[in-house]
Amino acid sequence: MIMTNNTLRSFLLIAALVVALPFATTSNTLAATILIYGMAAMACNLLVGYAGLLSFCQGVFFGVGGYVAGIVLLDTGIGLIPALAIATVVSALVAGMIGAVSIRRTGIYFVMLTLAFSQMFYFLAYSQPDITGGDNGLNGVPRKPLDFFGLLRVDLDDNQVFYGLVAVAFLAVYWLLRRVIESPLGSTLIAIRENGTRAWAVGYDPRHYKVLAFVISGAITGFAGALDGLLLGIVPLSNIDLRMSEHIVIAAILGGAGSLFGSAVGAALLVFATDLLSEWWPRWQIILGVALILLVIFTPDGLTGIWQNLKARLGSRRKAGTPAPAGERMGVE
Amino acid sequence: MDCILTARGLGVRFGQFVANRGIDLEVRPNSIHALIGPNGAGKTTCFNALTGRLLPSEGAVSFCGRDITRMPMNRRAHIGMARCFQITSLFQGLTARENLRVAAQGMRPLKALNFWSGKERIREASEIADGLIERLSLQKLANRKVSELSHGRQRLLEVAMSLASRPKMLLLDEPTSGMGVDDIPMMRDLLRELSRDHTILYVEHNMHLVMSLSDRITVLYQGEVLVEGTPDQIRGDDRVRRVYLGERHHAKA
Amino acid sequence: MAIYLFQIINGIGLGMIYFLIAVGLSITLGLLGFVNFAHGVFYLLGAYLTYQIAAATGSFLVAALVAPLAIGALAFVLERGVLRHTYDLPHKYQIIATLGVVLIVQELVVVGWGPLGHGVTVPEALSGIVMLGGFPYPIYRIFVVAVAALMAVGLWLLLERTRFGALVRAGSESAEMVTLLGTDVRLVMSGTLVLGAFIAAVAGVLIAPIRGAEPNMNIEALGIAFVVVIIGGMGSFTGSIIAGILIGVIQSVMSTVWAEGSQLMIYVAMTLILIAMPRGLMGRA
Repeated sequence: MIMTNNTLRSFLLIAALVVALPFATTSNTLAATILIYGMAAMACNLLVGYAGLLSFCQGVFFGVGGYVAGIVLLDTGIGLIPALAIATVVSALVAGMIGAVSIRRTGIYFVMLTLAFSQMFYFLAYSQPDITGGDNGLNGVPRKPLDFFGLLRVDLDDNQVFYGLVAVAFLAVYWLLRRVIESPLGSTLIAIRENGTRAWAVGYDPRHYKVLAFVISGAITGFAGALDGLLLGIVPLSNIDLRMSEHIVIAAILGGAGSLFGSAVGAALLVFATDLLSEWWPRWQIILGVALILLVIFTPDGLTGIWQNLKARLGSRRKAGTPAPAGERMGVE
Repeated sequence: MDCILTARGLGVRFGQFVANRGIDLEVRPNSIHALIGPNGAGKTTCFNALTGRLLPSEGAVSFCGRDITRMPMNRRAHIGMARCFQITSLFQGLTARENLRVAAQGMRPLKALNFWSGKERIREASEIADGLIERLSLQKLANRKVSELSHGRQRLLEVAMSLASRPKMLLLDEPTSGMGVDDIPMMRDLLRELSRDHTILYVEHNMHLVMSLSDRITVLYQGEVLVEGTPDQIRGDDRVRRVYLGERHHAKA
Repeated sequence: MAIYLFQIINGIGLGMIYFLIAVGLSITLGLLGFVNFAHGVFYLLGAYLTYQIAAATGSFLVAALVAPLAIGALAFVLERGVLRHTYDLPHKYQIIATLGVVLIVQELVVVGWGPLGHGVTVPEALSGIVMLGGFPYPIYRIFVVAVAALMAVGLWLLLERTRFGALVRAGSESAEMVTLLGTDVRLVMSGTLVLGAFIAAVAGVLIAPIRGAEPNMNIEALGIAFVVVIIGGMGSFTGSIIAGILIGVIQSVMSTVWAEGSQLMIYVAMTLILIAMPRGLMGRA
């Protein structure tokens, strides 16, 4: 079967939200941006929340995806879907390479190494203006139509139609990540996170699984970055800088690390807040900084923690005396 | 094939400090072999070298006729050596059953790369986990998070984890560590039962247990083998008595 | 040829500054147990305060003395006010808290001094060149090397010869060790963070006449500090000096050969060293 009932219910709920989003935000572009960063945040959560790898180089994959898709679409006759596929594969490869080197270290060393790689790729993009446009970014990325083997052609110039594409992509990514988490790989990653030494002792080489997690996360993040390039028509240098990596991690954790949908919600809030507040006060990130500190100190489990607390309180009022089954996660995941 | 664990001239050095030197050891199949010694004798270091957690500085270790001196821990699990830890080392946030399932799954690490199918699809691992839960009467605790279990039950689960890989040999680091007097007989009976199908090497401080349970005992002192023999031989040995003279009063119950 | 020698001297000066940033970070790493992303802002503020104080008082010296002390005080407030409340949390949350601090400071800096950088003029007494062996060397760069070397010696003495230093070294292995030594861990944490911030601030003071003060310099500094710690080895003083100088020289020499790629080469060098010497320059992971 494709999904359990619970998962199906969650999935339908999320699908409904995705459909409603452009109406709630009254802007197809903003809604698409939310979903794009939502995908990046969920992919980050696979590493941060489930595998326990605090990766500060997600921006590299996001940027690489955008640049590769942009270059392929600009300089070759290759169509949209193959271009997206190429961007995804290249991002996956880059993620595999960075992952393979970074996991030689653990803990704080690992964090520092991913950040160093983030800087490296930023300067790489900066130093090759002929390829990436440097400071000015890669401009004029064409939004070629979807072409299904010449049988069906869908023009994406209309932002509403493009949102449809992004929405389908988001739901597919969510579904894929759910499967990954419930797969043998997912359960192995979680075990490795809980106790790396024990994992070795029962027969795993944790490095293999961590690299695979990087590859999957990188592929999805690159895919999202490619969509971002198509959405904006430009791939700015800032897509690959450290701030992007930081924002993706923040989004992933804001919603609650270890909750897939939570990180998408975190991304949505972050994008929404940026859009709303940056017009009002260019220095709005001070508020974000304060909010992060307060959140960490008072509700470190993020939004999911608040959500689960609420559900617990409501649930206990209705069914007093029935303990929740251990290990079961409540609410939408 | 008779699978024996042998160590020849095993030595472990940390910089200038020699933790183990010239250790010879042979654990016969289906026997229970104890590794004892006063504090600081180097038992845990020796144990870690035998199980692949530490790289020996000299000497060789072999199992089933294969040289495993430099073999990493995960490969040892695949050739039939399973180990337990002195400080309970389970997957704390997971349920008891999931701990066992993951441990069983470890024998097929390639299958664990599968990122598409549901994890229960790996039937073998699920069946082994369920089998162990039955065998050790852990049904009521199967779906509880390990962190919620009592210390005694966690130690039991430690041993169960090592069984999940269907090993030929069990290596246990102080299996009764921190256990209450009431729980120890349970562990002793379990080990005795397991010795029928498995070879067991264990490190212990509990002298009563060691004397009543073991077929052979190796005594370490200051990093070297002091003497090896049957429980009767060790009990009557003057050197052992001298070395333990202060220790018997401090032996953990 | 002369230009390369010139750049090597520049590089050593730059490298010593990088060493200072890195060492300020590494003494806090072990004790905190997580990466303090806010470390870069001590460097940033060091440069900005130098600019401000020098502009206000006309004296670089006053700035150089006051700025690190002020930033040390700020670090104390930061530790007490924010970080202290996060010690029991998992590392990822602690890092998020420091990211919050970084955001706040970065934006406040732009509020206070605008989005563009500010130059700081090299003080009169240290400007000009000196001829050594027929080649001209800027006096300020030599001054930087001298100050950084002095600080390195002072820091070494502090770490090796004082009780506080012993506690910091113990703490860089594990915070538990400090508790076992019977000292209030929190005091050591505050002290270490203040010391680390002070050193980073001095680095900021020294770099100000070379690079000026600009709002993104903390990110650059963090990246470089990480590289130095990674390839130099965390507990290794000598390793940090060697790594810092190596990076400084690479960057300076590359800025002549290929300016846009000079920063990139730092990270490429790091990757190559990591692949060739997985345990870092000093053979300790």
